[in-house]
Amino acid sequence: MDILNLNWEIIWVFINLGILVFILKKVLFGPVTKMLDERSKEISDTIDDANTKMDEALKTKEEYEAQLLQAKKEAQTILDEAKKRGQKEYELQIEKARQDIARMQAAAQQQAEADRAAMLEGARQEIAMLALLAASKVSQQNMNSDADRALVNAFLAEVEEQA
Amino acid sequence: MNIKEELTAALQNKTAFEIPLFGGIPVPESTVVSWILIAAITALALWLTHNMKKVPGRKQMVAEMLVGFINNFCKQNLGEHWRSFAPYLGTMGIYLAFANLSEFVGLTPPTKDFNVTAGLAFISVVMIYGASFRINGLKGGLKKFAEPSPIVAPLNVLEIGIRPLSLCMRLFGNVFASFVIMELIKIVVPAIVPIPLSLYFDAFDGLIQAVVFVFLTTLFLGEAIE
Repeated sequence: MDILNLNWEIIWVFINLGILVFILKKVLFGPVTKMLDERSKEISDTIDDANTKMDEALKTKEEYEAQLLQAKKEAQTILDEAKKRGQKEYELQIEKARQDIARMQAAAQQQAEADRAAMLEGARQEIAMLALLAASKVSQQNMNSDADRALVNAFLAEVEEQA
Repeated sequence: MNIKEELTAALQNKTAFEIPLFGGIPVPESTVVSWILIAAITALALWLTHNMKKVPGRKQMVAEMLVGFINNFCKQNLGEHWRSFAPYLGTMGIYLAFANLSEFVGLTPPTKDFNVTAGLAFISVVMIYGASFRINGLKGGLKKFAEPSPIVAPLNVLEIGIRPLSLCMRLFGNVFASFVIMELIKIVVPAIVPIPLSLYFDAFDGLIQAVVFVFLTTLFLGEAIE
Protein backbone atom coordinates (compact mmCIF):
# COMPACT_ATOMS: atom_id res chain seq x y z
CA MET A 1 0.00 0.00 0.00
CA ASP A 2 1.35 3.32 -0.96
CA ILE A 3 -1.57 5.52 -0.01
CA LEU A 4 -0.58 7.00 3.37
CA ASN A 5 2.98 7.58 2.32
CA LEU A 6 5.14 9.83 4.44
CA ASN A 7 8.72 9.65 3.25
CA TRP A 8 11.65 11.76 2.14
CA GLU A 9 9.74 12.83 -0.98
CA ILE A 10 8.17 15.45 1.29
CA ILE A 11 11.20 17.57 0.37
CA TRP A 12 9.59 18.17 -3.01
CA VAL A 13 6.73 19.96 -1.25
CA PHE A 14 9.11 22.31 0.52
CA ILE A 15 10.95 23.04 -2.71
CA ASN A 16 7.76 23.58 -4.70
CA LEU A 17 6.10 25.80 -2.14
CA GLY A 18 9.32 27.75 -1.62
CA ILE A 19 9.52 28.39 -5.36
CA LEU A 20 5.86 29.40 -5.53
CA VAL A 21 6.12 31.74 -2.54
CA PHE A 22 9.21 33.33 -4.08
CA ILE A 23 7.54 33.80 -7.46
CA LEU A 24 4.26 35.14 -6.11
CA LYS A 25 6.07 37.52 -3.76
CA LYS A 26 7.94 38.88 -6.76
CA VAL A 27 5.11 39.09 -9.28
CA LEU A 28 1.88 39.30 -7.27
CA PHE A 29 2.01 40.21 -3.59
CA GLY A 30 5.00 42.55 -3.71
CA PRO A 31 3.97 44.83 -6.57
CA VAL A 32 0.23 44.79 -5.86
CA THR A 33 0.67 45.52 -2.15
CA LYS A 34 3.08 48.30 -3.05
CA MET A 35 0.57 49.68 -5.51
CA LEU A 36 -2.25 49.52 -2.94
CA ASP A 37 -0.07 51.21 -0.32
CA GLU A 38 0.96 53.92 -2.73
CA ARG A 39 -2.60 54.54 -3.77
CA SER A 40 -3.94 54.70 -0.22
CA LYS A 41 -1.08 57.02 0.70
CA GLU A 42 -1.83 59.19 -2.29
CA ILE A 43 -5.52 59.31 -1.42
CA SER A 44 -4.86 60.23 2.20
CA ASP A 45 -2.34 62.83 1.04
CA THR A 46 -4.88 64.29 -1.35
CA ILE A 47 -7.54 64.41 1.35
CA ASP A 48 -5.12 66.03 3.80
CA ASP A 49 -4.10 68.55 1.18
CA ALA A 50 -7.72 69.33 0.38
CA ASN A 51 -8.52 69.78 4.07
CA THR A 52 -5.56 72.10 4.55
CA LYS A 53 -6.58 74.13 1.54
CA MET A 54 -10.16 74.25 2.74
CA ASP A 55 -9.06 75.50 6.15
CA GLU A 56 -6.86 78.10 4.52
CA ALA A 57 -9.66 79.24 2.27
CA LEU A 58 -12.03 79.53 5.22
CA LYS A 59 -9.47 81.52 7.16
CA THR A 60 -8.88 83.82 4.22
CA LYS A 61 -12.60 84.26 3.79
CA GLU A 62 -13.02 85.18 7.44
CA GLU A 63 -10.17 87.63 7.14
CA TYR A 64 -11.71 89.21 4.09
CA GLU A 65 -15.07 89.43 5.74
CA ALA A 66 -13.53 91.08 8.79
CA GLN A 67 -11.68 93.48 6.55
CA LEU A 68 -14.83 94.24 4.60
CA LEU A 69 -16.72 94.92 7.81
CA GLN A 70 -13.93 97.17 9.01
CA ALA A 71 -13.90 99.05 5.72
CA LYS A 72 -17.67 99.44 5.83
CA LYS A 73 -17.44 100.80 9.35
CA GLU A 74 -14.72 103.21 8.37
CA ALA A 75 -16.68 104.39 5.36
CA GLN A 76 -19.72 104.92 7.56
CA THR A 77 -17.63 106.92 10.03
CA ILE A 78 -16.18 109.06 7.28
CA LEU A 79 -19.62 109.59 5.80
CA ASP A 80 -21.07 110.52 9.19
CA GLU A 81 -18.25 112.90 9.85
CA ALA A 82 -18.64 114.51 6.45
CA LYS A 83 -22.37 114.82 6.97
CA LYS A 84 -21.85 116.38 10.37
CA ARG A 85 -19.27 118.77 9.04
CA GLY A 86 -21.52 119.64 6.11
CA GLN A 87 -24.44 120.25 8.42
CA LYS A 88 -22.28 122.46 10.62
CA GLU A 89 -20.95 124.34 7.65
CA TYR A 90 -24.48 124.71 6.31
CA GLU A 91 -25.76 126.01 9.59
CA LEU A 92 -22.82 128.35 9.83
CA GLN A 93 -23.48 129.68 6.35
CA ILE A 94 -27.17 130.05 7.02
CA GLU A 95 -26.44 131.86 10.25
CA LYS A 96 -23.98 134.11 8.48
CA ALA A 97 -26.46 134.81 5.72
CA ARG A 98 -29.14 135.54 8.25
CA GLN A 99 -26.85 137.94 10.05
CA ASP A 100 -25.87 139.58 6.78
CA ILE A 101 -29.47 139.97 5.83
CA ALA A 102 -30.30 141.39 9.22
CA ARG A 103 -27.39 143.78 8.99
CA MET A 104 -28.31 144.80 5.50
CA GLN A 105 -31.92 145.26 6.51
CA ALA A 106 -30.85 147.36 9.45
CA ALA A 107 -28.57 149.41 7.20
CA ALA A 108 -31.34 149.86 4.63
CA GLN A 109 -33.78 150.91 7.32
CA GLN A 110 -31.27 153.35 8.70
CA GLN A 111 -30.62 154.69 5.26
CA ALA A 112 -34.35 154.98 4.56
CA GLU A 113 -34.92 156.77 7.82
CA ALA A 114 -32.00 159.07 7.19
CA ASP A 115 -33.33 159.74 3.68
CA ARG A 116 -36.78 160.40 5.04
CA ALA A 117 -35.43 162.70 7.72
CA ALA A 118 -33.34 164.54 5.15
CA MET A 119 -36.34 164.76 2.82
CA LEU A 120 -38.56 165.99 5.62
CA GLU A 121 -35.92 168.51 6.58
CA GLY A 122 -35.67 169.64 2.94
CA ALA A 123 -39.45 169.77 2.63
CA ARG A 124 -39.71 171.65 5.83
CA GLN A 125 -37.21 174.25 4.64
CA GLU A 126 -38.95 174.49 1.31
CA ILE A 127 -42.28 174.96 3.01
CA ALA A 128 -40.72 177.51 5.33
CA MET A 129 -39.26 179.32 2.34
CA LEU A 130 -42.60 179.18 0.60
CA ALA A 131 -44.34 180.37 3.70
CA LEU A 132 -41.87 183.17 4.09
CA LEU A 133 -42.21 184.03 0.46
CA ALA A 134 -45.96 183.94 0.69
CA ALA A 135 -45.95 185.97 3.87
CA SER A 136 -43.58 188.50 2.38
CA LYS A 137 -45.81 188.76 -0.65
CA VAL A 138 -48.77 189.22 1.60
CA SER A 139 -47.01 191.76 3.77
CA GLN A 140 -45.17 193.26 0.88
CA GLN A 141 -41.90 193.17 2.74
CA ASN A 142 -38.86 191.04 2.94
CA MET A 143 -39.10 188.37 5.43
CA ASN A 144 -35.69 186.88 5.37
CA SER A 145 -34.33 187.95 8.67
CA ASP A 146 -33.35 185.29 11.14
CA ALA A 147 -36.19 186.23 13.41
CA ASP A 148 -38.73 185.60 10.71
CA ARG A 149 -37.25 182.24 9.88
CA ALA A 150 -37.41 181.16 13.51
CA LEU A 151 -41.00 182.18 13.66
CA VAL A 152 -41.93 180.12 10.66
CA ASN A 153 -40.07 177.15 11.94
CA ALA A 154 -41.84 177.36 15.26
CA PHE A 155 -45.14 177.46 13.45
CA LEU A 156 -44.23 174.46 11.37
CA ALA A 157 -43.18 172.50 14.40
CA GLU A 158 -46.53 173.28 15.91
CA VAL A 159 -48.26 172.01 12.82
CA GLU A 160 -46.20 168.88 12.85
CA GLU A 161 -47.09 168.20 16.42
CA GLN A 162 -50.75 168.55 15.63
CA ALA A 163 -50.51 166.34 12.53
CA MET B 1 -12.99 -7.53 -6.93
CA ASN B 2 -12.67 -5.75 -10.20
CA ILE B 3 -13.77 -2.45 -8.69
CA LYS B 4 -11.44 -2.82 -5.72
CA GLU B 5 -8.46 -3.38 -7.93
CA GLU B 6 -9.33 -0.45 -10.13
CA LEU B 7 -9.81 1.81 -7.12
CA THR B 8 -6.60 0.73 -5.48
CA ALA B 9 -4.76 1.38 -8.69
CA ALA B 10 -6.26 4.87 -8.92
CA LEU B 11 -5.32 5.65 -5.34
CA GLN B 12 -1.64 4.80 -5.70
CA ASN B 13 0.83 7.66 -5.55
CA LYS B 14 2.68 7.05 -8.72
CA THR B 15 6.19 8.09 -9.50
CA ALA B 16 6.05 10.19 -12.64
CA PHE B 17 9.68 9.80 -13.67
CA GLU B 18 13.18 9.64 -12.30
CA ILE B 19 15.84 12.27 -12.64
CA PRO B 20 18.86 10.34 -13.89
CA LEU B 21 21.24 11.74 -11.28
CA PHE B 22 22.90 10.05 -8.31
CA GLY B 23 21.40 6.76 -9.39
CA GLY B 24 17.94 8.20 -10.09
CA ILE B 25 15.90 10.67 -8.04
CA PRO B 26 12.22 9.73 -8.22
CA VAL B 27 9.80 12.58 -8.88
CA PRO B 28 6.29 11.78 -7.62
CA GLU B 29 3.25 12.56 -9.70
CA SER B 30 2.07 15.14 -7.15
CA THR B 31 5.27 17.08 -7.71
CA VAL B 32 4.82 17.12 -11.46
CA VAL B 33 1.23 18.33 -11.04
CA SER B 34 2.50 20.94 -8.61
CA TRP B 35 4.95 22.17 -11.23
CA ILE B 36 2.13 22.46 -13.74
CA LEU B 37 0.08 24.39 -11.16
CA ILE B 38 3.04 26.62 -10.31
CA ALA B 39 3.50 27.40 -13.99
CA ALA B 40 -0.22 28.15 -14.39
CA ILE B 41 -0.37 30.32 -11.26
CA THR B 42 2.77 32.22 -12.28
CA ALA B 43 1.41 32.81 -15.77
CA LEU B 44 -1.89 34.01 -14.34
CA ALA B 45 -0.17 36.30 -11.84
CA LEU B 46 2.07 37.74 -14.54
CA TRP B 47 -0.89 38.26 -16.84
CA LEU B 48 -2.88 39.98 -14.08
CA THR B 49 -0.11 42.25 -12.88
CA HIS B 50 1.84 43.19 -15.98
CA ASN B 51 1.68 46.84 -16.92
CA MET B 52 0.22 48.05 -13.62
CA LYS B 53 -0.93 51.64 -13.43
CA LYS B 54 -2.10 54.06 -10.76
CA VAL B 55 -5.55 53.95 -12.28
CA PRO B 56 -6.22 50.20 -12.48
CA GLY B 57 -7.56 48.37 -15.47
CA ARG B 58 -9.87 45.38 -15.18
CA LYS B 59 -7.08 42.79 -14.77
CA GLN B 60 -5.25 44.89 -12.23
CA MET B 61 -8.49 45.33 -10.30
CA VAL B 62 -8.85 41.54 -10.01
CA ALA B 63 -5.27 41.24 -8.76
CA GLU B 64 -5.79 44.10 -6.32
CA MET B 65 -9.03 42.62 -5.02
CA LEU B 66 -7.35 39.26 -4.45
CA VAL B 67 -4.26 40.68 -2.77
CA GLY B 68 -6.32 43.27 -0.89
CA PHE B 69 -8.60 40.53 0.43
CA ILE B 70 -5.64 38.44 1.62
CA ASN B 71 -3.91 41.49 3.10
CA ASN B 72 -7.02 42.59 4.96
CA PHE B 73 -7.62 39.09 6.23
CA CYS B 74 -4.06 38.99 7.58
CA LYS B 75 -4.34 42.50 9.01
CA GLN B 76 -7.45 41.52 10.94
CA ASN B 77 -5.95 38.35 12.34
CA LEU B 78 -2.26 39.16 12.68
CA GLY B 79 -2.27 42.88 13.44
CA GLU B 80 0.90 44.83 12.78
CA HIS B 81 2.96 41.82 11.60
CA TRP B 82 0.70 41.05 8.65
CA ARG B 83 3.26 42.14 6.07
CA SER B 84 5.66 39.27 6.81
CA PHE B 85 2.99 36.56 6.58
CA ALA B 86 0.46 37.70 3.98
CA PRO B 87 2.51 36.50 0.95
CA TYR B 88 3.03 33.05 2.42
CA LEU B 89 -0.57 32.60 3.59
CA GLY B 90 -1.87 33.96 0.29
CA THR B 91 0.39 31.68 -1.72
CA MET B 92 -0.71 28.70 0.35
CA GLY B 93 -4.37 29.57 -0.22
CA ILE B 94 -3.95 30.04 -3.96
CA TYR B 95 -1.91 26.85 -4.28
CA LEU B 96 -4.43 24.81 -2.30
CA ALA B 97 -7.37 26.19 -4.27
CA PHE B 98 -5.65 25.32 -7.55
CA ALA B 99 -4.53 21.93 -6.24
CA ASN B 100 -8.00 20.97 -5.01
CA LEU B 101 -9.59 22.10 -8.27
CA SER B 102 -6.99 20.45 -10.50
CA GLU B 103 -9.13 17.37 -10.97
CA PHE B 104 -11.35 19.45 -13.24
CA VAL B 105 -8.62 19.59 -15.86
CA GLY B 106 -7.87 15.90 -15.51
CA LEU B 107 -4.91 16.15 -13.15
CA THR B 108 -4.58 14.12 -9.98
CA PRO B 109 -4.89 16.61 -7.12
CA PRO B 110 -1.51 16.90 -5.36
CA THR B 111 -3.33 17.19 -2.04
CA LYS B 112 -4.34 13.54 -2.45
CA ASP B 113 -0.69 12.74 -1.79
CA PHE B 114 -0.20 12.53 1.95
CA ASN B 115 3.33 13.88 1.57
CA VAL B 116 1.96 17.14 0.22
CA THR B 117 -0.53 17.87 2.98
CA ALA B 118 1.94 16.75 5.63
CA GLY B 119 4.58 19.00 4.13
CA LEU B 120 2.21 21.99 4.07
CA ALA B 121 1.12 21.36 7.67
CA PHE B 122 4.76 20.99 8.71
CA ILE B 123 5.63 24.34 7.11
CA SER B 124 2.62 25.96 8.82
CA VAL B 125 3.61 24.68 12.23
CA VAL B 126 7.25 25.65 11.82
CA MET B 127 6.04 29.10 10.84
CA ILE B 128 3.61 29.37 13.76
CA TYR B 129 6.11 28.43 16.47
CA GLY B 130 9.00 30.14 14.69
CA ALA B 131 7.04 33.39 14.55
CA SER B 132 6.02 33.01 18.19
CA PHE B 133 9.64 32.70 19.33
CA ARG B 134 10.92 35.31 16.91
CA ILE B 135 8.39 37.99 17.87
CA ASN B 136 7.98 37.24 21.58
CA GLY B 137 11.59 36.24 22.18
CA LEU B 138 12.69 32.96 23.72
CA LYS B 139 11.15 33.77 27.10
CA GLY B 140 7.93 35.14 25.67
CA GLY B 141 7.64 32.19 23.29
CA LEU B 142 7.99 29.75 26.18
CA LYS B 143 5.54 31.79 28.23
CA LYS B 144 2.99 31.35 25.44
CA PHE B 145 2.75 27.67 26.43
CA ALA B 146 1.50 28.69 29.88
CA GLU B 147 -1.40 30.69 28.51
CA PRO B 148 -4.15 31.23 29.46
CA SER B 149 -3.17 29.29 32.60
CA PRO B 150 -0.08 27.21 33.51
CA ILE B 151 -2.34 24.20 34.08
CA VAL B 152 -2.95 23.86 30.34
CA ALA B 153 0.78 23.92 29.52
CA PRO B 154 0.93 20.16 28.77
CA LEU B 155 -1.95 20.53 26.34
CA ASN B 156 -0.22 23.45 24.65
CA VAL B 157 2.91 21.34 24.26
CA LEU B 158 0.82 18.51 22.81
CA GLU B 159 -0.66 20.97 20.34
CA ILE B 160 2.73 21.27 18.64
CA GLY B 161 2.08 17.77 17.35
CA ILE B 162 -1.70 17.89 17.18
CA ARG B 163 -2.00 21.02 15.12
CA PRO B 164 -0.02 19.84 12.09
CA LEU B 165 -1.56 16.40 12.35
CA SER B 166 -5.11 17.78 12.33
CA LEU B 167 -4.27 20.24 9.58
CA CYS B 168 -2.79 17.68 7.23
CA MET B 169 -5.24 14.91 8.07
CA ARG B 170 -8.25 17.17 7.55
CA LEU B 171 -7.04 18.31 4.15
CA PHE B 172 -5.83 14.90 3.07
CA GLY B 173 -8.94 13.15 4.33
CA ASN B 174 -11.31 15.47 2.53
CA VAL B 175 -9.50 15.43 -0.77
CA PHE B 176 -8.79 11.73 -0.57
CA ALA B 177 -12.39 10.91 0.31
CA SER B 178 -13.84 13.03 -2.45
CA PHE B 179 -11.33 11.46 -4.85
CA VAL B 180 -12.40 7.98 -3.79
CA ILE B 181 -16.07 8.84 -4.05
CA MET B 182 -15.62 10.38 -7.46
CA GLU B 183 -13.60 7.35 -8.67
CA LEU B 184 -16.32 5.01 -7.46
CA ILE B 185 -19.05 7.04 -9.11
CA LYS B 186 -17.07 7.21 -12.33
CA ILE B 187 -16.68 3.43 -12.28
CA VAL B 188 -20.39 2.94 -11.69
CA VAL B 189 -21.83 5.73 -13.87
CA PRO B 190 -19.24 7.21 -16.16
CA ALA B 191 -21.40 9.94 -17.74
CA ILE B 192 -23.47 12.98 -16.61
CA VAL B 193 -24.09 11.88 -13.00
CA PRO B 194 -20.52 12.69 -11.91
CA ILE B 195 -20.88 16.33 -13.01
CA PRO B 196 -23.03 17.77 -10.17
CA LEU B 197 -21.37 15.50 -7.66
CA SER B 198 -17.95 16.56 -8.85
CA LEU B 199 -19.04 20.19 -8.46
CA TYR B 200 -19.81 19.48 -4.83
CA PHE B 201 -16.97 17.13 -3.86
CA ASP B 202 -14.18 18.70 -5.90
CA ALA B 203 -15.11 22.35 -6.30
CA PHE B 204 -17.08 23.19 -3.18
CA ASP B 205 -15.36 20.90 -0.72
CA GLY B 206 -11.95 21.55 -2.26
CA LEU B 207 -12.31 25.32 -1.92
CA ILE B 208 -13.72 25.00 1.59
CA GLN B 209 -10.75 22.88 2.63
CA ALA B 210 -8.30 25.36 1.12
CA VAL B 211 -9.97 28.17 3.06
CA VAL B 212 -10.11 26.13 6.25
CA PHE B 213 -6.44 25.24 6.04
CA VAL B 214 -5.34 28.83 5.53
CA PHE B 215 -7.84 30.16 8.04
CA LEU B 216 -6.71 27.80 10.79
CA THR B 217 -3.05 28.51 10.08
CA THR B 218 -3.74 32.24 10.30
CA LEU B 219 -5.74 31.78 13.49
CA PHE B 220 -2.95 29.79 15.18
CA LEU B 221 -0.42 32.30 13.92
CA GLY B 222 -2.41 35.24 15.29
CA GLU B 223 -2.73 33.48 18.61
CA ALA B 224 1.01 32.76 18.68
CA ILE B 225 2.23 36.28 17.94
CA GLU B 226 -0.35 38.44 19.67
